[in-house]
Amino acid sequence: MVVVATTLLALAASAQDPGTPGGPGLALFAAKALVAELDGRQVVDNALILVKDGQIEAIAARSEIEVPTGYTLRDLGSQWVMPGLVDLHTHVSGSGINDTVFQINSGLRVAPTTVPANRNLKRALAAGVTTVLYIPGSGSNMGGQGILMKTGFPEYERALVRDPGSLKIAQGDNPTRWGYGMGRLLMNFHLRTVIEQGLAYAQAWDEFEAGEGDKPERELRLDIFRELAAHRTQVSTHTQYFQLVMMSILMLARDYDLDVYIDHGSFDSYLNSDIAVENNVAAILGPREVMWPNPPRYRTDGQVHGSAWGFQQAGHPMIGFNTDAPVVPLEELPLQAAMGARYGMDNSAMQAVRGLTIVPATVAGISDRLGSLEAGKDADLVILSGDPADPRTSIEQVYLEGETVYDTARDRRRW
Amino acid sequence: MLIPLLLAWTPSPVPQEAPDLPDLYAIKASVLETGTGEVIEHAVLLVEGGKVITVGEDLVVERGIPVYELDPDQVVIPGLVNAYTRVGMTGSGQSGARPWQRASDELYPAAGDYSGVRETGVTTLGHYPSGNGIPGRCVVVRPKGSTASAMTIKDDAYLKVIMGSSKSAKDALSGGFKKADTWIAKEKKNKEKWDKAKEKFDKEKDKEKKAKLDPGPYKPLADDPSAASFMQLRDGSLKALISVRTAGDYLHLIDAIGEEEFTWDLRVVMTRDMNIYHVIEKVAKSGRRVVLEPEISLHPGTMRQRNLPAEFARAGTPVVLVPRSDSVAGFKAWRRHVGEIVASGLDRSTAMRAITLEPAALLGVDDQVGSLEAGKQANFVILSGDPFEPGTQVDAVILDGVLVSGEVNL
Amino acid sequence: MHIQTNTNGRTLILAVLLPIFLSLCAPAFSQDEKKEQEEPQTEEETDEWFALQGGDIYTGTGAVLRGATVLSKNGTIDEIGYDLFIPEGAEVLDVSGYRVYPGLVAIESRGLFGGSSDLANSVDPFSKNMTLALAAGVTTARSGSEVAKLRAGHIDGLVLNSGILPRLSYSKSSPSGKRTLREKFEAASQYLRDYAQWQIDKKSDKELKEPSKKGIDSSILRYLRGEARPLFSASQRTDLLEIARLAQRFGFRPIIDGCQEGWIVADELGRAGASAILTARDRSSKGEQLVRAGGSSIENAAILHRAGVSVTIIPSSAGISLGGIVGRDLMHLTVEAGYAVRGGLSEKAALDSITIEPARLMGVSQRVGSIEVGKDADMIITDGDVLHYQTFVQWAVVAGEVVYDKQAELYFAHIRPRPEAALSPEERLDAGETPEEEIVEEAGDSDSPGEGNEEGDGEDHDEDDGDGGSRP
Repeated sequence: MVVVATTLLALAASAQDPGTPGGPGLALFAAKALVAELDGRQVVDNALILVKDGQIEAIAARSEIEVPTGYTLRDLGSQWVMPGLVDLHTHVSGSGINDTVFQINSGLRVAPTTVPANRNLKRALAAGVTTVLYIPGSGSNMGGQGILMKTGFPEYERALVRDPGSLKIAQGDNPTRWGYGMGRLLMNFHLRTVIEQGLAYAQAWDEFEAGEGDKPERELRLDIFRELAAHRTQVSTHTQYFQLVMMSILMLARDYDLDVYIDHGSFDSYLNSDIAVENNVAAILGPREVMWPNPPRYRTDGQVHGSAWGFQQAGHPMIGFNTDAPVVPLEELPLQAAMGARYGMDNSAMQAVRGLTIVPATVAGISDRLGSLEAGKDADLVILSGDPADPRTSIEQVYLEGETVYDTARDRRRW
Repeated sequence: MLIPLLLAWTPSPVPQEAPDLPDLYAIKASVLETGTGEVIEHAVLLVEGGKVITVGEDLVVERGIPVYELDPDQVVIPGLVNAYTRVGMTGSGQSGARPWQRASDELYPAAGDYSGVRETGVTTLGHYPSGNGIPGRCVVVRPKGSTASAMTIKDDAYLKVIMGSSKSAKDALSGGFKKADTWIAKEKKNKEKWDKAKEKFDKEKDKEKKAKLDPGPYKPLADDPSAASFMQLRDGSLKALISVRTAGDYLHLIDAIGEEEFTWDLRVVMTRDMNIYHVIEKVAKSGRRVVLEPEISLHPGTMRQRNLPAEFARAGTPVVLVPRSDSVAGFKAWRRHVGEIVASGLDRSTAMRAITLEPAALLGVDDQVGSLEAGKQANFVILSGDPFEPGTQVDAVILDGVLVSGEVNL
Repeated sequence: MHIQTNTNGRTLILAVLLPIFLSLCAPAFSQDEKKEQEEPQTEEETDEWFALQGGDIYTGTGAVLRGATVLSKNGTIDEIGYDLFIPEGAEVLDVSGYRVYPGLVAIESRGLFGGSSDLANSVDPFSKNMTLALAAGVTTARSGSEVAKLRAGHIDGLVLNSGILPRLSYSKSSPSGKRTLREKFEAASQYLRDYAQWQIDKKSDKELKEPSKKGIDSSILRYLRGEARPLFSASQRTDLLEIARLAQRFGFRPIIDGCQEGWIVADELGRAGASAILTARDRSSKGEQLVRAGGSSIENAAILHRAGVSVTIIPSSAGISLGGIVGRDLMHLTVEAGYAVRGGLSEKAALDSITIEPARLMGVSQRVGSIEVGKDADMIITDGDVLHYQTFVQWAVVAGEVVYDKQAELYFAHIRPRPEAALSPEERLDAGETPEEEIVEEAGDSDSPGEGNEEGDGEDHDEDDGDGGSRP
């Protein structure tokens, strides 16, 4: 890494690093930038990225824009740059996240258990994972509220991206352990009951604030539904296999018009691709990326079916990857995408990289800030030696909002 | 409408409940399956003294011989032969190599099962000793008789061997032959020793010394029952029925047999996902029979159906079928299950043979039973229709010429 | 039959009259002529030839032969090169556009062979796990104390070696154990010194008694003599140092399984001639209170290798996982090697770590681990760089026979299937024809398998010359 300092550093007294808020600008030259726009450019070769005040100011081919005066130049040589990776199903920012007090715990929040920049997050940062959704476990049907946070900042406020990050709903078989003799019928009944209560609560508050009704009583456990009703946050659903995912989609997305995404999608979930697309439900897949033949239930005629392959075959456009860390270690998020590609997902339009960046960011409602290299977004950049999904690729540097939070030239290589 | 039979009583060796058939009679049927694959229409079956005298199409029957004319729908087939069953036997066996043991020692003629067996049309049974390893020899019986000897058609029909992918299973077989070799070598030494002593005795002139040296008559070694069984395998007086589960087991079996030559047939234990199909060609080349159940298997990991009996038959292996369930109810369902396999692709005449003549050949009693041919026992079943149709009932069962179940009209 | 004898008309007459002569009278003609008639016949009947044609052969010795042929005879590699003469009746597999690598060697495996400890008598040669391991490129694996070939469909010619990798324990958690082991080594060492001295002294003094072997551990003697190498399980720095010192003191080369903190004491281990069996993704943390370096490192393999320690890589799970979480079992051995490359290990060393190095440790490197004349014909044919995450094994060859075909099995045939034109192994060619032209025509587009291979914008799965991936 060659650092070339230009003249005219007017802010000699400033201790701010280039690119960070309040500091001078930063210009990065990279051999290739994986831009990952949602509906636009995917790659820019010989890219020049301008970073100012923690945000991406501009990104284009080197020949198309100029480096403004006062900007520090960093020539990354033959390395590539990509947006920080986003994992929407993690449990390693803290512990003690399965307080299954009730079967429905919509008011519980994992935020207070967060240990920012802990060892797990530090290692994940070295793998390029910059933003995670930290959620409660699946011990009850509604485990509580998760937070979206960045992995590399040790201060909670700086690390926090959004609270509530999501409402965690688990529709699978884990919650049956909560109560003796409890099954799907009772679980769905309870979910519906609480959702209806919550949506009514949200409506009552909306009316009150619009001056049309009495002030409702404050109920901490239903506050989250105000966020959901206003589409300011989403439901991350622990759901897998055909029947379960079908219920998740029809009940949560179709019947209650909540923003929902599938947060496991294993086994034969992909059979629901059509209704998922209809109801705008994305598939964030993991930790299982593959289904093995197991007739008579999982009939694949002997074939090994990749989950990503399955959804893609059926035409689903929004496929992402997660780790369910610690089930798969958080730093192996890129490997999940690699496995999705290996087991059949067509990767000719950078679907693997998109599934790690812009798709989860969009689905979680934070694509205004994260998920791609576009002007105005956070300068969360990963500098790497090649294809992000390839295990052989090494990550040399990670920037969070313009700040170099990981640098193998300076720190010990963590991953 | 059935007209009850009225006949003069002829002295019969076995007391009957059902109305008797005479010693000499003829059956006329629209359709008769001989069991060899031949199907005879307008058939005439002549029975005397419990044996088939002759069978053919449109034969002329001598006057005075009672003729039983069957309904046009009714079909005559040979009595069914189940080569591998323990219905009627109780008790569990021991594991290990005990090739001298006999299933015949367990026979219990008064077992209630046998009347049920008769009603299903099964007229010959091959009882095997229970247990793992090499538990002993099979006995062939008729499902009727008050004593074991009355029931027994043939003992030591085959040696039951369970083979698996393990050193112990393979050693039981290969080791058995080694034991035979060891015994033979020991016996040889024994004889040589005696021969030498005799020589010395003969040479000795001195009368006193001679008396001392007299070796006496030759005393052969005590029989080693295990070694004896394997020597019987070698000389062909005993054959084996070897069970395997997987294709790997079959390869290990061939490895365990090595260079030994003896007669044996194969039985494949049927499970849902089977991989025996890997070795169908090899088995077909070996010329051994295969004992299977009439069941559709699934190709492992899929729901693709495989008709293993049909696949084996097509490859050229003689197929023997036994009921899916070893019980009287299983015997009842046997023909229907075979019919399902036929509908899925097994050649019909192969199927008929697989439950009659082929198992009889496996048991070594095909000179007596298994098909309706002159000189064989008159064992046959009168069915209300096609043997492999689901609704077909057993109208009558004749065992050794005697009616043991159902009714026959005049 | 093209039997080349002295080419003239007389040969023909002889060919006709010879059998007649043979059957009528005692052989009055030369033995040579008779031999000429008989020998080629017997050879062609009993020898089994197999050829892989047209692929890029990554021999594992450093040489890469592009568009070359490997010819094997009775399961052993006979020739590698260009324009080879392929005997009649040989089975020929056209692998143009594909790569040929040595079959991978798994120094740890579980459940592949379906049987128990006595593989020759208990192997299930049709086991699903064996097929899946072959699909992942593994052709040799250790099961218990035996190392065997994944010879699907056969139960003979399986076991290559047994009684391998005996374990020793030398850990700070058992000081008395350490002392005992040291004493044993000392005693054995002393015995060897005494024996050597006795060899010299007995020349002058014939009466001198041979030193007693009583109480000397015979396996330790083998280690000191270099006949075997002991295996230690150790991951902590202090244990590793102790083992290295023990090895240097008594002069043997230890094999160390685990070796997580090896990167901290790499030089010591290198000097001791150690070999490491490690998992690149092992994670262990050092105590928070320690100032010095500790814990695991992704650079472990690279650092050890640079220090001269031979590295063998194993995945964290040695069996075949069918749970749906993929990437960390024996089916993804190359992924684990890939992570070692991430940490700085060279691509060649990474490939060695799953081929020749484990073969050496198990004492079977004269038979497997690389594609060389005289070694077993155990090879895998892939549709790209074997260390790339999207590469699939198309065929696996063990003992000169195709034992796995991706298109013939149901598991992965639907994933980027081979183009129809590629020849299947059933087709045979006569030596007289010129196969090259025919094959090139038909399999013209099998250069890189089909559409699915244009991932990204050339950023992945490119077919570089051996250095793979897209590293700068």
